[in-house]
Amino acid sequence: MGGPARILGCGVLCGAGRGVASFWRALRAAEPGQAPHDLGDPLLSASYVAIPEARDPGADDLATRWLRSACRDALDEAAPRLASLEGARIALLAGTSLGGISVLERLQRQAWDPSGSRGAGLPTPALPLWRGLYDGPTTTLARELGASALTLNTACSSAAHALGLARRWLAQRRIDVAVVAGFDAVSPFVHAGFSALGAVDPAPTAPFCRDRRGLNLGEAALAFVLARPHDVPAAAGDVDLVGYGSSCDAHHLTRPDPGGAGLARAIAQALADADLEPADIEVLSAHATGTPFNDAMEDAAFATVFGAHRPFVHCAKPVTGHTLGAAGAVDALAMVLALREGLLPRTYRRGEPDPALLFQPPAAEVKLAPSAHVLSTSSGFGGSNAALVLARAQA
Amino acid sequence: MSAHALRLLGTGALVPSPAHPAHEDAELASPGAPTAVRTLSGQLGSAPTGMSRWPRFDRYGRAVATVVDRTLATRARQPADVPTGLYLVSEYGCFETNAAFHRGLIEKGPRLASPLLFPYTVPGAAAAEAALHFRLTDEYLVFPGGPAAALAAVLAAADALALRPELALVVASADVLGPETLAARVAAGAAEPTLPPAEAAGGVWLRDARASGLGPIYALEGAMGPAEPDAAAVRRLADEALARAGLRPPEVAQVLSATVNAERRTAELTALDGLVPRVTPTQLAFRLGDCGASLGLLALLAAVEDAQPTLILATSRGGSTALVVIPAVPAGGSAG
Repeated sequence: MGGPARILGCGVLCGAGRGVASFWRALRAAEPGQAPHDLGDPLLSASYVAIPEARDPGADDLATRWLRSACRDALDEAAPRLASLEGARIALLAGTSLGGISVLERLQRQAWDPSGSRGAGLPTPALPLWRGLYDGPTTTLARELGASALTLNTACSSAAHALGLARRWLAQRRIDVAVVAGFDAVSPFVHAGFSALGAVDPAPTAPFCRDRRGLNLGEAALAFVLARPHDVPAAAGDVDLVGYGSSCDAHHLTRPDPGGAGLARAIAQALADADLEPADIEVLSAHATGTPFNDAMEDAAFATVFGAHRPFVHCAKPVTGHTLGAAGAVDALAMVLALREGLLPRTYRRGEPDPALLFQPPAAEVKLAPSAHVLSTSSGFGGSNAALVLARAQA
Repeated sequence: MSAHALRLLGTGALVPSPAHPAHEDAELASPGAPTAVRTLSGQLGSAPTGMSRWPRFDRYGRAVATVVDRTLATRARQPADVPTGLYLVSEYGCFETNAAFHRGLIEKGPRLASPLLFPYTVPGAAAAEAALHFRLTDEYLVFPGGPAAALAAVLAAADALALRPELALVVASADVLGPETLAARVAAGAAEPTLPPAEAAGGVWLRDARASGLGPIYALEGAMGPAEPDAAAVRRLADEALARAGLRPPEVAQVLSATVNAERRTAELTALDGLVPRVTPTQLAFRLGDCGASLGLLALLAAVEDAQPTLILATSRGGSTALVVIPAVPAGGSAG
């Protein structure tokens, strides 16, 4: 209904490496990316998939620095095809769960240190990014890019919604170029929160497997550059975002609707938006956190929509960890690359597939037809669901 | 171009009561906090009917639930079984709960981190609770940001309704204050010295004008621009918004500014001087204080209340948005 949005450039920085080539190699290797990292507290010793670089945030917070890196890489790739768009209206749409929390966390720890300055209040002038808890990094980058900015925060579906909204704005000609990003960093705050919920698996996460016990946290910043296809020259291997759906379970704050009705609605919307039937979908990129509840919910939603049709399933999180607000972008990038390469990587598996789940990742890589359509799903706290449909550009 | 016609099924607003013009809440007391804080004291005390989870909510969650309840007040008279979604905007979000969780983490250690508080440390938790109670199961988005983000959310809603005429959407905003938020604003230099910080919430319930429902019809259109625009950029923004709405500058009857920062308000005045010279912008922040994202939604409510062609401007550090509101568009038609 809204017309396709063409993906002109991609940037990625995550535990699976920096750059699209590293990311793709890691996906194809399909090995767990989890490794121990020191969060400065022995009680937070569980592994997560970290971006391998120094933790000193320097002048910016980590998220802003990583977001900048991903945006620059995506824009560098897109630049030759944007040259004809003089005076283009650019928007930065970013999805995040806890944004620039590392800055706030550091300053609050300083202010509340039980051994010293507790009660002294926040350092002054110490919080240039105090709003950075949610939208500070986006704002900082938007100023650098001369772009309008909008941050989306629907927890772990944030970046997928940002992609969907960008496509609508391009279709409505509100903007000419969209830089769409997803980012989140792991910190003691984040780690302790998910640990308190009992959602973290100390072993490598095993989505859709019988003995899956939870998620591995991960951190990432990704960016895409999108434009209307008719505004830019075509290139071999172009991939378009062709459908988007959004819904809310309205079921529970942290647990998904076990019947998957909310996600099924989002998928149905995305298919209708793309003017496709369920049988047209060849690949499902599942949110696949590896928690018992999430994977069962997704399986139920897929069964509702696809019936007896069995698209190939892919789960990126064993390689990248669950990157929270960036997760939708991670999964979308995995699918963009799969479509470009005509190849679906296998998914890491630990133990046996869960026999209770109808949908399972293939044990080996699968060649994809040039006409393949893929569906990527994301779900988050509060029952937020997003579904995206991607396809190779039609000549 | 022409603006898309939408039916306004309902509105809701929470603004500080004149009976509580200043900082009277002990819970907001903080050594670094300003003394003149306009609060929603007395307006967040009772739960919407049947909302059993209300006791768990922080002030932010209560403000969201209350304003959504008010926005949906005409529900019994509207068509049933309309798929309805929720877009929520907030500048400060759940900052207080976030700080409470973090303080507990520091003082008690990660092993005793609260599993009850953690889910409420994302600003979408309040939206999720509202969606759960009011059965808002369709499109669902949460935007952290200020008044410009609130107007951008309205434009996003208009786009969604244009694509999906069967849908209805509630666009709501809420911002509440607490000691941590107030202290952080001051420490960051983010507090506007001439304006009192204020709590507020707003909401609109929209549907495509072609669909059934009770309520007046308006055309809503607009444009988005860069963060911290100069006067020339504001002018381009207003020009684009008016062109998209099909409204000529002389037809603008009023201009409402939802901008907080004094320098940016000056840029707006400069930009508008040559565009709509006979209209002096009304500064909503002077009336309502710095009430975060809700300044944008409350500007929209003021425009629909006044029922005349209105240009709303909001510029902030996160972006800038111009929204054009045109009343009394015939059902199924378009403005311009």
